[in-house]
Amino acid sequence: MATNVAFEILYREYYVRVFGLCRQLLGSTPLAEDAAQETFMRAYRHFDRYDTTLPFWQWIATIANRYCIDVLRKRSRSGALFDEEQFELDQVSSDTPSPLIQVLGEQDASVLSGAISALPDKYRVPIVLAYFHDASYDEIAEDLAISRNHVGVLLLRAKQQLRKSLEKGAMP
Amino acid sequence: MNHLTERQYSMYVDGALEAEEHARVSDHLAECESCALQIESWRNERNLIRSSITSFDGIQIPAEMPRFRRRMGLREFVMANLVTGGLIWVLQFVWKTVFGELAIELLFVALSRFSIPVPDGFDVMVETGLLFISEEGVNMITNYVLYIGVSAVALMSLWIAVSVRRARANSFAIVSAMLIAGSLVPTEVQALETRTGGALITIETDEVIEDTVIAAGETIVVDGDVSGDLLAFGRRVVVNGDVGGNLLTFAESITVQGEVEGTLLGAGSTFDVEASSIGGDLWGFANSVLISTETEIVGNAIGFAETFVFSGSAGKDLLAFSERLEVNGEVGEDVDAFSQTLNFLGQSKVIGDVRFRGEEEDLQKADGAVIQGMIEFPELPEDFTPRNRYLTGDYYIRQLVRLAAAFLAGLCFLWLLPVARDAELDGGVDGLKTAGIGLVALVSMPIISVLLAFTLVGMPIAVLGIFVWIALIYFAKIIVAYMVGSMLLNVIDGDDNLALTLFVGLVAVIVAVCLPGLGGFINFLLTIIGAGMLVGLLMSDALDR
Repeated sequence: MATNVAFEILYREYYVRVFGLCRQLLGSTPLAEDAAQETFMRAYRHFDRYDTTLPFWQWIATIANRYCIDVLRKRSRSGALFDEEQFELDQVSSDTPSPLIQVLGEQDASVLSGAISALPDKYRVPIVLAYFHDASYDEIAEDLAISRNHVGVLLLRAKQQLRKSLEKGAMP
Repeated sequence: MNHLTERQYSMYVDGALEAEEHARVSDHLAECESCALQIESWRNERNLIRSSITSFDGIQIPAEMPRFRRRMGLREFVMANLVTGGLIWVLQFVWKTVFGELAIELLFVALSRFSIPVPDGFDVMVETGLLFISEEGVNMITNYVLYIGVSAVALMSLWIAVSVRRARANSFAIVSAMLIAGSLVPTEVQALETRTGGALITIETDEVIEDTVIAAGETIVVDGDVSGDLLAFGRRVVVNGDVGGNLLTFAESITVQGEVEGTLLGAGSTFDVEASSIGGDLWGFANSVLISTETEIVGNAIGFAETFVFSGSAGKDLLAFSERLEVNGEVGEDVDAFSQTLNFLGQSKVIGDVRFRGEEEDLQKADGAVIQGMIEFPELPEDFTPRNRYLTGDYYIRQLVRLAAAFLAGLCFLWLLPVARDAELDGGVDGLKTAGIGLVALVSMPIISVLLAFTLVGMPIAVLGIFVWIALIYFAKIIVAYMVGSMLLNVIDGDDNLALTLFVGLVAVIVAVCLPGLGGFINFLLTIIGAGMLVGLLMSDALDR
């Protein structure tokens, strides 16, 4: 079973990254365990569809993204995670919190990591896709089935939310 | 320009602004210090998020490696069923012939030849035991086949039910599942009895065989009844008993006197049918075909012979390709004769028309002969000049039906064998090699099958081989069509729409094959190329495993 051995090597090499991606996307460690397993299972089953000219990470990350987004969609009852109706205005509001760098200061980066996990799905998923998976706005738009502009808004909202929650946390 | 919005800051540092807007923002940043400062802190913030998001703290590879196992999909399930069915079919045949017939016989020949001392009653015991095993073995296998079939149908229905309830199944899935279920419904397994060897093979008068019988020998005399089909190969074949199914004989001289419920086909030097009744059609290929007075044929009587004498009665047409045709019986519909001479004797009666492809003076009709319809003399050359087929509507309808059938068959085929979607034709010498492989496969398979058919045990494999050969010819063009389709649609991997690609390719191939003049050659070329690709793919796929 030559393919099995090859696949086990890939599994060892990519498990941590896939797990990390799933953990960030789902915001939960137990769920991420299942998701990582399922991602590798799916990759194994469809290994014949893997285009060897592309990096393996790109391929398996796409599988993980799709699976995790599916899980989140099923969890939110309505199924509409990234509803267009929540399109917010993107004007500079007067009470814009100061950028994270000032709020966070010398604080531990794990605080930020925790804050990201605590974000609502609709903000967390785009931010993870953009900064973990390094997906372009167009790719995120396609994965989430929303418009490119909406991706921009969600990312901005996510950053604002992070600032707010950290500002609150930083004040005694 | 006004100061930048937060959206612009955010998208600018992500490098996600459209080119035009990006340029405008860049220009603004060059002259506005406060915005440049802002962008710097947005950039830092992005980097901070990125670094904290890609942390892998506390993640460990689980100690236990998951067992990577391919779950059996519907496709594999269907394939496994088809293969199991085929294997069982071969196995059953071998069991019956080798074990049921030969092994028991050999054992007793050996016992008596070497006069091995055996206790009293031993032979009876052994015979009973072996017979039990050979009979029960067949039953066992039959039951197993039934079990597989029934369980497959049950699973399939379950799958359909589940899919429909989930409302996830598309119509294609349902249709294909029905087709598969239909094809998996167990057909009644025909038991088979073979009799071979020896100068004389007889089936006695009081013998009734509830099986299909294959008999091969020098002389075969069938006095008893066979409820299934009877296939007889020999120098001389005489069938006096009744045959419940079809009777197929290949022998130098053939005489049939019994009743045949199905079709009677005889090929040999002389073929005589006397006082028998035939439920289906009669086909005679012989030097002389003689159908005597009391023979009743429900269907058509078709003869290819030097001399064809028809004195019996046929329910439908009488069709003759012969040098000499003599009619002295009753024909329920038309007589179509491609022959040099045609004689209607005194007892003949034709309800329909007579078409005689010959000279008017070569047709003779006795006084008592009755022909109720017309007598026509269609001229040979005229009839044999094909009309311009492109001007008939039929032709186009046929092509449409052909397209639809090929499309459906192709969908099933490409679904079952996804490896066929990867077919590619290399240029130059490799392309020629592929065509060569195809040609060799197409020529050698029927030859090997015919050779195998001579050894009776190889018969099922031979039949299988012929089926595979026909399938190869058919699917060769489909696989080429799919390749053409993906070239036309510029599909790079197999992910694109299977149905659309196949359809476009099939249309292109069928149009090419129908081209006047060139079409036949293109058809041949595509068939051998496709066959070569298919053989190559299957070989490399098998080697990979």
